[in-house]
Amino acid sequence: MSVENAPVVDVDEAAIPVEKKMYYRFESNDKKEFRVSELAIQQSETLNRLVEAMGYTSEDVENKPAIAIENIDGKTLKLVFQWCEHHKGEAIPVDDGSVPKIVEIPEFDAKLMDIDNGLLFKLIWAADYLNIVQLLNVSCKKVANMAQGKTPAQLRRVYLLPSDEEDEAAKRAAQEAQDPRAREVEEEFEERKRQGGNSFF
Amino acid sequence: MSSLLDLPNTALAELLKKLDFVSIQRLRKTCYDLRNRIYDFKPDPSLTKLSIRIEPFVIYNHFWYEDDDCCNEYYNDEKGCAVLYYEMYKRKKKMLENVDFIEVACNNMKTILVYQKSLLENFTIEFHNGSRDGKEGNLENTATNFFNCLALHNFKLKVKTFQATVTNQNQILNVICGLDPEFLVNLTIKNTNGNSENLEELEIGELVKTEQWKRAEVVNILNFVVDFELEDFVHFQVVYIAVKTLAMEDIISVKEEKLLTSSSLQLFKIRFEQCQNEIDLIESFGQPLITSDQVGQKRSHWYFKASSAETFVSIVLYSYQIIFQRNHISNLPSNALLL
Repeated sequence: MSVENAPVVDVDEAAIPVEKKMYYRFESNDKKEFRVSELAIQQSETLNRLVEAMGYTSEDVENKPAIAIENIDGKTLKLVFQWCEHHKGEAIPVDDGSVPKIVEIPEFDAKLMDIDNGLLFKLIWAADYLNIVQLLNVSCKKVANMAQGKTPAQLRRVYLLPSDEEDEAAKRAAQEAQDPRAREVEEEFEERKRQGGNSFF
Repeated sequence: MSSLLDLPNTALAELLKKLDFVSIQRLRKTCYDLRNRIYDFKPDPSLTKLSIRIEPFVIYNHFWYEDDDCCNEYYNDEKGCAVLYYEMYKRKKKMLENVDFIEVACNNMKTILVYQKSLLENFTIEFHNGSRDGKEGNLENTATNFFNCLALHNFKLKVKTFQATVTNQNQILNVICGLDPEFLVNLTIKNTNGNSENLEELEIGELVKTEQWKRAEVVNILNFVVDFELEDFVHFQVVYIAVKTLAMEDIISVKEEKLLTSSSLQLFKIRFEQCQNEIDLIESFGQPLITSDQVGQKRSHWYFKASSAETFVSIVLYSYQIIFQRNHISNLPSNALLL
């Protein structure tokens, strides 16, 4: 019995048939396709809004082209959707400003994030872009844990950061390539460096 | 290759929330880009405790965070400023040429204090005399430069317990102005020169006018004598002070005006070097109950009814101090006469 044919009065909610489980198709920027359940998509505020706005039927999902996510590659998107499927149906944490500093990383997430740091940063980027609150939480926690007890030099290696000298050289090269007269910008940069630099031991 | 620098600000903010302040400071040292981006976030160092010690040729500071601590020493050196600090439990030294040690110390403290938004449980500042190469230093000069440079009046630090070891009122005033009066509960003032037979006098005329004084709940003034004006102390719950001479009128007025009527005052201890004759008290309060403490010191006790039926007020007079205390009626000794 469909909802339309049910009597107007006396609607028993339990009697409304469960909607058929719906899957959506997404495509990464390197043309890898993923099928993701509706419930898993709810973990991502961005995607959830998108599919709601599209209002696809099950037929549309199959007939229309996959929804393109243009700035995330397949390798990263695979991790994102694996995470969403595993945590589907879970409540999304609300950021009320009193964010607790203690974030537990579940075993599944720890295994999922057992990847090289470059990919981990891409995963964080994706979690932020797709607005997946809890994935952003655990991935940032993992990155934060890496910093414990490390010197600036060690942090540079772990976080794949350039040293001040490399940073400066790269900037100068970029500026000169772009505009040889970019002295003003460089001077302002130097000024900020003087203000911010060398003030903590 | 993706690096930490590729993260958008929202993700970086999320990461900074999960890092302790010391890690954030180390992260600031990795590269310019990150330093500038962290600067924009103004992360709260969540200091729990801060202690500063000022000597004529050295400034020490010690910062305690939730699960870490860090201390630095800034020395006045012929060439400039020598900084001693710890990195990974190793003591290190850095020489900064042609700079003033006070300026370096203050600038570094500012970079941390300016971000402190949460409650600082404990803030201790100490002023001490000291010498270098046999040369006596001028503490007053160093202190003045320190205050000018740190400009604490620009801060509104939320401090619960403030302890100052000083030589004069001015030093307290220059620090207390940087504390948010709404949060200050405990105030302790100690004498730099320690205990002595004849205690030095501490002027408090300006201090008692500050909002911080008026809103604090507990005051301890150690190894100083003060000029005692009852009105300046009536709002406290606990008072511990010393005076040169305790006059009977003061004792009677503390009892009448303060203890019997006020609901806030719990304990009022006054040490004195001299006290006017005890007989005056017997005349006004009646015969005391006399006891001896463990070392045989004689004590006179009086007990009074308080405004609330559940409490009573006791006055205990020793040869060197008098203690006024509010107590629950169940603690009244059985042989006591309630006046």
